[in-house]
Parts: sequence; C-alpha cells; structure tokens
Amino acid sequence: MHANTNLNLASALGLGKAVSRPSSIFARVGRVSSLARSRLIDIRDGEVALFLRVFFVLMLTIAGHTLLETARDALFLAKLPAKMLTLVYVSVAVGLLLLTPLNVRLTRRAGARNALVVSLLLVAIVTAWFRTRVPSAAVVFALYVFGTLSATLLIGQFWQLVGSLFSAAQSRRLFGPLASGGVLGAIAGAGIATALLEVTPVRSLLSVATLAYFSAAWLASKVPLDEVASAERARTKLAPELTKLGKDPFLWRLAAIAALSIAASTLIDYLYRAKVASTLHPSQLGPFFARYQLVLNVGSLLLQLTVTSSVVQRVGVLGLALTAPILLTAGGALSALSGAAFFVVVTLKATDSAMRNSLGRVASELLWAPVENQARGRGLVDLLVTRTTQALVGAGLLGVTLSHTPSPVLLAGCATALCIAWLVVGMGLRAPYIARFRSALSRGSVERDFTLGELDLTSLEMVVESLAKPEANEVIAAMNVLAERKRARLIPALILHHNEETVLIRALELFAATDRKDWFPLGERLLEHTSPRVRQAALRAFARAGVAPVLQRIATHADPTLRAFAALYLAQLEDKPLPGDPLCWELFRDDDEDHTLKLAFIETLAAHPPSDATRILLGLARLPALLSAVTESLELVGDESSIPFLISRLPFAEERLSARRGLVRLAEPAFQALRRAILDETSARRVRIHIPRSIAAFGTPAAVTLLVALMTGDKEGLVRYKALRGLGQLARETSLVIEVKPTLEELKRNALEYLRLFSARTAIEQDTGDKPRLAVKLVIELLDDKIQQSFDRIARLLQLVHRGDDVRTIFSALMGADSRQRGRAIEFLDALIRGLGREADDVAALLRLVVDDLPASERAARAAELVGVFASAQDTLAQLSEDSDAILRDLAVHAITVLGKPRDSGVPSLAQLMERPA
Amino acid sequence: MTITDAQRVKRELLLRSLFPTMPLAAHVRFIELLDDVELKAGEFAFAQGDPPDRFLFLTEGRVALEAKGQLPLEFSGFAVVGVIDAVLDRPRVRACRALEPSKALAIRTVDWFDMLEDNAEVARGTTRNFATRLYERWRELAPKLPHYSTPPAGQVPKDFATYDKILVLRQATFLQRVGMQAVASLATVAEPLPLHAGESLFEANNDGQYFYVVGAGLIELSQSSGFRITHTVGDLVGGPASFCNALPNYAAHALTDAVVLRISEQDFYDQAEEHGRLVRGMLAFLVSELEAIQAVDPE
Repeated sequence: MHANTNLNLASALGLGKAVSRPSSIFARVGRVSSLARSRLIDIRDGEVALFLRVFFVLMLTIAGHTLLETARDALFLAKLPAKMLTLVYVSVAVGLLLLTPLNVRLTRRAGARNALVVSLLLVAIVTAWFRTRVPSAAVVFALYVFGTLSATLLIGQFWQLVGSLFSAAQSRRLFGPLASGGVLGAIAGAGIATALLEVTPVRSLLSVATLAYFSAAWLASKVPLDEVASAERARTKLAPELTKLGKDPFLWRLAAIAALSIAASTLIDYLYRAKVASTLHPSQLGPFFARYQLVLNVGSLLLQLTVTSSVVQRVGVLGLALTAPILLTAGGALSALSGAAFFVVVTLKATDSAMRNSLGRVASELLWAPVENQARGRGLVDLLVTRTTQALVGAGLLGVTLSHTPSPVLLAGCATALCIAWLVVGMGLRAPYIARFRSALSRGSVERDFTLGELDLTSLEMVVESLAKPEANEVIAAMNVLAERKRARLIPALILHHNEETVLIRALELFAATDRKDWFPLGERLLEHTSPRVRQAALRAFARAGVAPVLQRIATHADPTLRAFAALYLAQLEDKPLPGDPLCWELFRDDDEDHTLKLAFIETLAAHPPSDATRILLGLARLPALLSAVTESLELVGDESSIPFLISRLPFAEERLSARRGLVRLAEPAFQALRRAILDETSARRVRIHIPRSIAAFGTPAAVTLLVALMTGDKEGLVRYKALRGLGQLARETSLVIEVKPTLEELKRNALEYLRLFSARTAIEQDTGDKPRLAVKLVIELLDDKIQQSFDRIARLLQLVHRGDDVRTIFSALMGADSRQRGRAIEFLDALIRGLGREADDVAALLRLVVDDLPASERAARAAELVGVFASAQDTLAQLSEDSDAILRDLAVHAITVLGKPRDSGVPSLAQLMERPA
Repeated sequence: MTITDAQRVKRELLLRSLFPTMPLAAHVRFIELLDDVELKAGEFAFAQGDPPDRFLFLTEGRVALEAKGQLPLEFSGFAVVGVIDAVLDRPRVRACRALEPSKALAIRTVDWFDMLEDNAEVARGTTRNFATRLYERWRELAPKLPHYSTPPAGQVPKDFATYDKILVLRQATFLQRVGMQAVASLATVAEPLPLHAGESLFEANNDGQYFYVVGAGLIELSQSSGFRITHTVGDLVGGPASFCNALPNYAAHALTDAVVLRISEQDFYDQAEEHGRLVRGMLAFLVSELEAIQAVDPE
C-alpha cells in the first residue's frame, strides 16, 4: 500500500514536489496536532449562542465570587487568627454535607438550569445582607463559610448544567474556552477589587459581588432547559448509588481523586493563609489578596489561552487528569525543601487555584462525561466523599492547632504525599475510563470463542434428544454436532432404522469413518433398501470401512450398479497397483456421463489412500467434472505434490474451503508455496487475491508476519484488503500478537486517503451544485464508494489494535443520528488510541479529523494542509484524472470533457440519452 | 460475554438444521455472533422507525410485524424476522411485537454481511434462497405487470465502450444499490452482444452460466408453456430466474435491434467477492422486489 497511497496522496496534493518526496506526506501527519492547536476556540454553527450565554454566566459568577473572596479573606485574617481557618474547613464541610442533599433535590425537581438561577439569586441576597452587617468576628467567620459554600455549590451547579447541555465531544472542544470565562471573571473581579480598594473599604466589594450574582442569575435564566436533566430527576434514588460506587472501578477512582485532591487543597490553603497571616500586617491583607487574585487570574487566563486547548488535544483527557497532581507534587516538594518560603508557598497555592479552575476543572468534567446519569454519581461523590474528607482534614488540622502550630514544612510534606497518591490513582484511570465508554455505547467487550467446545452433560442430553426428533434436518444436525467433536460413536446404530433417506445416508457416512462395527448388520440390510441412493451409500460405507467380505457378497448382488461399484472398491481395497493414466483405466470403461464410478472411486480413495493417491487424483483432475471431488479428496490425502493444484483451486468458491484445509494440513511446505505465490507478481490475480485468507488459516506467527507485510506493502488493493481481513480473523479467533506500529501506519494512510477523497468530493459537489452532469455524478458516486471503503478499513484496522472492543459498533454510533452517542463514540475512539505511544497520538488527532462532527467544507478546509487543496471541480477532476485507480481516472477524464460543454448537442449519445429524465 | 456450552450446542443444533449446507466454519462463527432475545407477551423486539441494526431468528413463540393501517404479519415456529429492513438498510417499517412469550436469536446486520463477504458459498446460497422465493412469485405475476405490456422501443447505439457499459449497468435495477465501484468493475467484464431483430439470445436448456442485461432495444423472454415477457433497457433478462439456476427453462430473442451485456456467472461472483456491496445490493434488489410483489399480491 505504501507506493499506491503515496502516489495517490502526492497526486491529490497536486504537487510535483510531493511526488518527488513521498515521505513528506508522513511528515505532514505530524502537523495534525499543530492544526488542532492552531484553533484556540473551535465553536461550530449552532453552538455560538449557547456557548456565549454559559460563558458569561460563569464569568459573572466567578467575578462575584472573587470580589466576595477578596473581602472575605481580608476581613477574616484581619479579625481572626489563622488557626481559626481549621474551624472554617470543618464548618464548610458540615455545611456542604447539609446543603448538598438540598442542592441535589433542588436540581432534581427544578432542573440544573433553574437550580443554578435560584442559587445565584439566594447567594446575591445573602451577600447583600452581609454588606449591611458590621464585620464582627462572628459575621466575618460566617462570611468566610458562606463564601466557600456558595462558590462550591454555584460552580458545581454550573458545570452540571453545561455537562448536560453539551455532548462528550463538544465538551472536549468547548470546556477549555468555557473555563476561560471563569478566569476572565476572576480577573475582572480582582481588577475591580484592586481599583475599589484604593477608594473604598473592603466591605464595599460585597455590593459589587451582589450585582454580579444578580446579573449571572438573569443570564442563566436565558439558558435553555435540558431534556436529560428532566428525565434524570424523575427516577433518582441516592441510596443504591452507594453500592454502585463501591463496585464501579471508575467511579471509586473518581471518588478517590476527589477526596485526595480536596485533602491536598485544604492543606495547601491552610499553609498559604497561615503563611500570609504570619508574614503580612493586617492592613496589607486586602490589597495583597486583591493583587494576588489579579496576578493569579491573569496567569490562569494566559495558561488557558496558550496551554489548555493544546494540552487537551495533545495529551487527551487522561493525560490532562494527571497534570494537576504532577504540578502540585512538584510544588509541594519544593515548598517542603525550601522550608516553606513565602514566595514558594504562594506559588503553590496559585498553582492549586489555577489548576482547580482551569485544567483540573476541564479534566474533571471530561472524566465524568461517559458516566450515565452523572448527576447522581457526582452528587454522591460531592456529598459524601469530598465533604467528609474536607471535614476530616479540617478536624485533623483543628486538633493539631489546639495543641501547637503545625510546621509549614510538615504541612507541605503531607500535601505532597497526598498529591502523589492522587497521581497514582489517576494513572489507573485509563482502563475503567474506556470501559465506561464501552458500557455507554451499549455493547460490552467482545469475548468470543470460535472453536468447538467439548460437550458437557446438559449439552449431550440436548443432542441425544435431537437424535430422536422426527425432523430429518434436526437429526442430521445432531449427528453433525457429535461428529465434529469426534463423538460419532455416540450416534446409536439403531439410527439406521430411521425412515428418512437423508438421515440414513449421513449416518452411513459417519459410521464408515469410525472403527466401530455395530452398524454392519443394519447397514447390510440397507443394501436392499428401496432407494438406490441409500443402497449406494451403504455400499460406499462398507467400502470406506474396508469390509471386504461384504463387498464380495455385493459382487453378486442383483443390482448391476452395485456390482460394478463393488468390483471397483474391491480392486482398490486389494491394493492392486494402479499404474498409468487413471482416465484410461479399464475400470472406468462402463462409467456413465455423470462419471458416477470415477466420483465414487475418488471418494473411497480418500478413505483408503494408496501410496500414489495424489498422482491418481491429479490424473483424474484433468477431467473438469471431477475437479471439485478431487480437491475434496486431496484435502484429506494429498501430499506435497498436490500443493500447486490446491493453490490453483483457490479462486473457486465451492472448492476454496477444501483447498485451504488441504494446504493447512500440509503445513510448512504449503505455507512457503503460498508465500512464493503471493510474492510473485506474475501469479494470476484470481489466485493471489485468495491467498491472504488462506495464509490466515494457518494461524501461526509466521502467518501474521506475512499478512502484516501484505497489508502494508502489496501493490494490489484487494490483496491488502484481504490481508487486513485475514488479520481481523486472527485477531478475533486467536491470541497471536499483531504488531501495532504497522497497523497504526496503515491507519494513518487510510485516514489520509479518506480525507483526500472527501476533500475532492466536497470540492466537486460545491462547484457543480445540486444537479451535476451525469459524467460528474459518476465520479461523485465512485468517490462516495471509496470514501465509505476507507472508513470501513479504518474501523477494521482499529479492531486489530483493540481486538477486545467492538469497534464496528462504535463506528455505527458515529454514523448514527444521536449526537450524544456520536460524541461518546468520538471520545471513546480517542481514548482507545491514545496511550499506544507518540505515533498513536498522531493517529488519534488524524482520526479526530475524520470522525469529528464537522461541516463538509470545514473538514475539507482543515484537511487541506494534509492532503492538498482542491480548488474547483475542474481542478479536482484534473487531479483525479491522474489517480492510481484506473476507474476513477477514466471517469474523471470523461467528466472533464463534458464539464465545459453545453448539456445538449446535435446527436444524442447514450450518455446524453441517459442524462434525461425518463 | 461468553455463552454457555449448552447455549452454544442449542444454537448449533438449530443452525445446522436450518442451514445444513453452510460450512462448519461459518456455523461456528454464526453461533458466536448471535444474542439471545426473550420477549414477554406484548413486548416489542423493535419499534417502527428503529434502526435496522439486527434481525431475529424466532425460535419459539409467535410475533407480529405491525404498522398502523396495515394488516399485521404473523410469524411463529421458526422464522426470520426483520431481515427485509436490514437488507434494505432502512428504518423499521413495522414494529415487531410478541403475541405470546417468545424466544429468538438476534444477529447484528453488520456481522451478517461480514459473514456473507467472507464466505462466497454462504453468500451465493443466501442470494439463491431469496431469488428462489422471488422467482416463484415472479413467474406468476411478472407478465401481468403493466411495464411489460407496452415497452418503449429505445435507441440502439453503434459502439459500446466501457463508459457506456457503466451507464447501462448503473441503470440496471438489480445493480441500483451495489455502488459505483462494483458497477464499474462489472463493466470491465461485461461483454456487449449486438443482436438484430429476431435474433436468438439463448435457447431453452442453455447452460445458465450467464447474466444478461439489456443495454439497448427489446428482448423477449419466453417459455414453451406460453409465458412471455419483454425486457427493456436496464432489465436483467429473466429477473430472479438468473440467480436461482432457472434460466435454462427459458429462451430469449431480440424483438428489435438490441445490445445485451453478457456477464459470466463466475465473473459476477468473482466481482461479488471483491465488492461486498455487490452481494448486499443484489439482496436488496431481491428483497425489495419480493416485498413489492407481496404488496401487490400477498398470496
């Protein structure tokens, strides 16, 4: 496929340069990532209005919270000692334990949007109330607890709402930019706070916060209601979720991550505030917190704009989930090693805050995306896990601070240890994450056994029962089930009393192949059966079983046909030399037009093969009518000299299976012969195209290696495809290792081919409108076929890499009308491919371009960098007229000739006649 | 998801008795691709408008295919249910409801087509099965259809290049769903046979080894029993008879100057092995014709 694809792609790129440097195409694959990176905000038609609404809701909410937080921090540390923070943590946790069920209930009853609107209004009112109060110690304490509680609830509600509004694939694109809204809000809030604190007291910030919350509530009320939320609220019960959480490896990991991250964050927060309180004078606190928020959030915004999108695209969701613990582990360790230096601790806290509101938040949202009815699971994690952990950490800190002031270095060390544990849990997310998508796409993993198993007692009873059925087909089926498992002995000889001719014939065939003798008396009776077919079957059975005395008796039978057969079999059984050309044997002198004697001889030859059986069979094979029977016999008795014949029979569907089995029986010499035949370009095409599946039948590592080489390197497209199918069969039915790297390269090529054909088709269609000329229409139809073919091959190649997954179902979901399922399928594919190395990440990016929900023109525009530009129909057809595919080339040439001509000319050609409507 | 030995054997017994000529390897694969479906009375196996992603082998009980304003179609004992939508790749036209507690085995359409693509014998057997069913109805009803009573004369071109063959085959009803790649490949092996008015295309007792597609003009198919129909451009001469070895029962000759594209059966099935859509498209043709005939005359 190398040469072909390169040529196709080069011509598609339309560049002489590309033809002279075919390898450059693969370098271009690497640009896919940069292609994605270059698009900071990928918002598509139909998404803009909704995105902007939720963006500003978040921005205003966070702006309000930043103002409140600045006032809160400054007032608290000015009024109360830092160790009182520990009591705040406990109070916040207890408060959330009480509020979360109310929040869950509210969300269920009112829906995510309405819950957010109501909460924003309440927070606005309470904030306004705090503005009116004198800042006593109790009020300041309450304000601190309220600020934390409100932020946690509002942000949680907001992300729950957007999680229900966007699909998994949309989330991946939009959550990064959406999180920027939060950062912008924080900058705005911090900026306003910094400016106001120059002229007004800290409490005035609460007035502006109230305004921000009210505005956010108004805007949130404009967000549409979501159907999923409505469906969820009707049937949610929290209690059974506990059991589910414990049993689900993905959910308990998410819960563990939530617990570890909140514990680490609480420690870092305490460390930071204690450090600030001990370092700065109370009068410096307000301006410090305002400037800190400003710097922090400007930094976050830059991070968001420059890093988040590319990180999400590049490392995927699972990589993203590890970013925060990695950075915090490093920051925590540095803090501990530096003796908790002020600047380092502030940086650590800034990192935690920035991560929590940007990458960490996006990662969390994306990780929850594949969870069905996520509101329930999240509610449980938030209610029990996060808050309990927070309460425990707060209580622990409170206990410690009652006796002494904890060492900042120790706190930094503990935070580091928690981040390491978080990292370890995060690293185990991949498998359950993929399993989650698998389950969401509703087809479990594929574990299938393509071998015949032994019969257990229940099965045996069932088979024996079927042997007694009146229906011939059922009895034959039962006999075949036993015979295929080498259990023909279990078929009772009494079956020869059956009324049905077909049952008798099959039973005789099976008995003859065993060494049992109990059927002889009944079999001999059948020599007198009214049906000549049964009589002949009985005779054949005795011949195959080598029962000479019975054959000798038949030699005097009244039926002349039976006598002739008996003579033939006896001659064979007596092992008389059979020299010369079998077609000229005296034995066959009286054979009929249908070659009945020769066919009977061929059959028994397989049962009792003489040393020169292959020679005799090949001699008989000169008669076309005997070819099929000869192939069947050679399957059982052919020696190495039969290999060329068996290979030559592969093109014939009815003989192919026998020929393949015969070749597999001959093992290595046959395998080598097949290898030579497939590598020989002069071999007949009709033979070559059936060799890959024959090679697969060997089921050996060498077969896999050869098939991989054919899949990636053969010049003939059909041979490459059959090799892929052969590998698919081996992936399904064996545990043989199939190398990933060549498969990934093949995936790249097919994805590029898909994009090339897709871009070409889009250009032609855009340029020729709804009613293209017939010649152009033919090109479009052919391109459609080829696009579908590339898509199918991509699915099959992915199946090779992920043999345990049902990739075809995922692709069906991609083609379906359900946008939520499509989104899941896209994410699932992405998660499946990533983690197989750097090359796999490139393939994932390329596949994203193939499968993503994009308008045709947009996909073509994005693919232009990889597959070249198709400027117009004329230009595209000109490129296709040099394609490596002869049919496409010819049709393109035809289309070019008609494109410039008027539709009607003097003499109607066949094409013109057909172009007219009937 | 693995199935138990007993389940496997049960399925094997069923499939072997239903499809005795299917090769063992195909049986083994088939067994693994099936899913058990149990329906309570009144329960739906699929609803109207559902995607045709699978079809059922009813093994026990009774089900009905129902659509508003139409008579229900009942199935009991062993029956294949829902295959027509699957082959035609269209949303379910009728809902499938169990009339009593029923059991079935379901196979995904995509797996079934994969199996047909992998096994030429099974594909040919399946085609023949559908063709035989269609042929039985066709020979009774085809002469009565209005299309065959007043055929247009058509225009006969002098040359028939590959491009022209593509145009003709693309119009052939039995190739409407096979895709351009398959059509173009068939065009490369199709042999144009120019015929003068009155000239014989084939006689009765012919070897039946070819498919004939009318490229221009009119061809009459006839039988000594008096059966007589006229084929026009795009028609497969003999219709379903070509797919079930029944063509030797007929003779055909040109009513006007005509061109017929002749494709050997071997070449045709070779191409079918190369282009999976060719088998699918042919089945779709046979099934849609069968459905159309059943709609006209349910008996």
